[in-house]
Amino acid sequence: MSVAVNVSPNSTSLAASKRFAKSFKGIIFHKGWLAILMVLVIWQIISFFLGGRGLVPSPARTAATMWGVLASGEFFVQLGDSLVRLLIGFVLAMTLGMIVGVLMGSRWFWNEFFKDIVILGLSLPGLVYALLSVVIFGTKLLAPVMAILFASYPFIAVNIREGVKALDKDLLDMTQAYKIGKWKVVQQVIIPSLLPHILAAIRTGFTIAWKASVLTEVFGATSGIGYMIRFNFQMFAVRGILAWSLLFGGVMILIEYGILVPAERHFARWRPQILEEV
Amino acid sequence: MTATAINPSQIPSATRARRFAQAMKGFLISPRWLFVIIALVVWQTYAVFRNSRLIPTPVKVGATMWRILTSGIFFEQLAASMTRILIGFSLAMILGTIIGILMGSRKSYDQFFKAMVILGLALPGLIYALICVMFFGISILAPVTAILAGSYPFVVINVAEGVKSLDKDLIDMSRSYKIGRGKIVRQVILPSLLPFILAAIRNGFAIAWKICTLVEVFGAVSGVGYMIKNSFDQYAVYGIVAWALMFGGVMLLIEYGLLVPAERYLARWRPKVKQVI
Repeated sequence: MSVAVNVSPNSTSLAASKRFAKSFKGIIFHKGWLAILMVLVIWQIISFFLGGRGLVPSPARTAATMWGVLASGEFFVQLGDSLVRLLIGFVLAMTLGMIVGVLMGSRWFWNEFFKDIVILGLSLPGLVYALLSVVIFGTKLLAPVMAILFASYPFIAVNIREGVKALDKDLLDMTQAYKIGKWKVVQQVIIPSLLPHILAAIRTGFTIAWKASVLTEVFGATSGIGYMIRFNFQMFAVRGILAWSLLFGGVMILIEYGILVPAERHFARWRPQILEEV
Repeated sequence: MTATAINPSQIPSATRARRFAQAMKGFLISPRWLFVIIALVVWQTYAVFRNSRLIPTPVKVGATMWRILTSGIFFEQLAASMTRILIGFSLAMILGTIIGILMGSRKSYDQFFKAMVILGLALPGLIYALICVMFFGISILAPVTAILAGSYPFVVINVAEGVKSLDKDLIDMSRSYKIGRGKIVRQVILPSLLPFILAAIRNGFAIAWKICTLVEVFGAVSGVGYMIKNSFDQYAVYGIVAWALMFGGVMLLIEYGLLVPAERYLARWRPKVKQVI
């Protein structure tokens, strides 16, 4: 782009569309498809030789089930149920995680205070929270919400803590010396440097959250994706499990790589170190 | 320390002892205990106040833990789980290292495996657990296959990262000095790959034991996950908490007592490798 000295909006849009075409071409002719094709072929062969018992459905049958679930609209009904639980739980987890993370990042005392419980929370499997909240809250909305809250807040707290620790103290001192208002400091110094970490917290916390929510639905719910997976498990329908989990996993990957990762990259663009890690 | 002739072996051990005493003091006088006390008091009063069968007091959970430990049943079930985890995770390490090396060394392999690895990272362990239980029933193949499928992607990304970060100039130099292949592998490649392999072990292991617990919940007749499921079926919250805390404790001990120190030790010559917690 060094040739264009005064770039007209027209030419940039042309360049943008060219870039888009190129990246599109990169996606279509990507070697990743080869791997997926190979997996499908191997899967088809295995199901051909082990077929008959219905335990290994062919990819074609799995795809047909997926299509049926999608076309009947059932997928979107259950997805809606799951997403409502997920969002309520995750918003609470973000709130708790932010509070704990900011406290841990800013004061030694609070860091020591919360450290053990956060490490324990990071390492306990979501299964434990799922089972406990199902026993205690039954099939109420509170069960998945509590499971999500406790499973994912440690991941948020850890990321926020790192962000608060990475704040540039000299810059903060300087704003104080120049008597810049507190609100402006928050707006123009603290939030921009915290944003990439907040987004990283959202991304890691969200992946934990939806897994915990599916698990809770498996053990105690009467609707949602996890309930459908459980239902298919009890019917011994492998293709049902595959269809529901692949569809749900697909939606989650779409959210993660289509919204969260680009957002993180966008807000971290002024900070080359973090950009590499994303 | 009045002796004029200083014994060289004495000073380091004395400073080490002092440093140890200081560390112990830092450990004992720490706000962490305040948290433990507050949490226990709040939990106890809440449980007594609610007086529900579903919310056990910490005393009851502690008693259950003690009973499980002293009767030896914990170690029995732990051994059953650990056998499955170790077999499955060894296979995952082998598969993950092979794919990781391929992905790290050639761009075309990187593109080839990338979509599969990302899908593997994203899918929840639950799916592998359910499908493996349906395929293999309660045989050992179920947890082993589920652990393999669930944890190899975490090994792959770490190993690939390590291979990508190898110092090409150093390898070129050792080649131009005609240093034997074995010696390059031993003295250049392995030392710089080791921290990444240990990170792979740590990340992969954390996933592996969680998947193993899940498989045992759905289809097993022994293991810690089976005991948790048992407590769940009896609505015994104290049992779930006791088993989960003890199993989680053992896994934390392995991670922070064994894997993290090993990683730190092997990465000590490389200040850049970041420590997360």
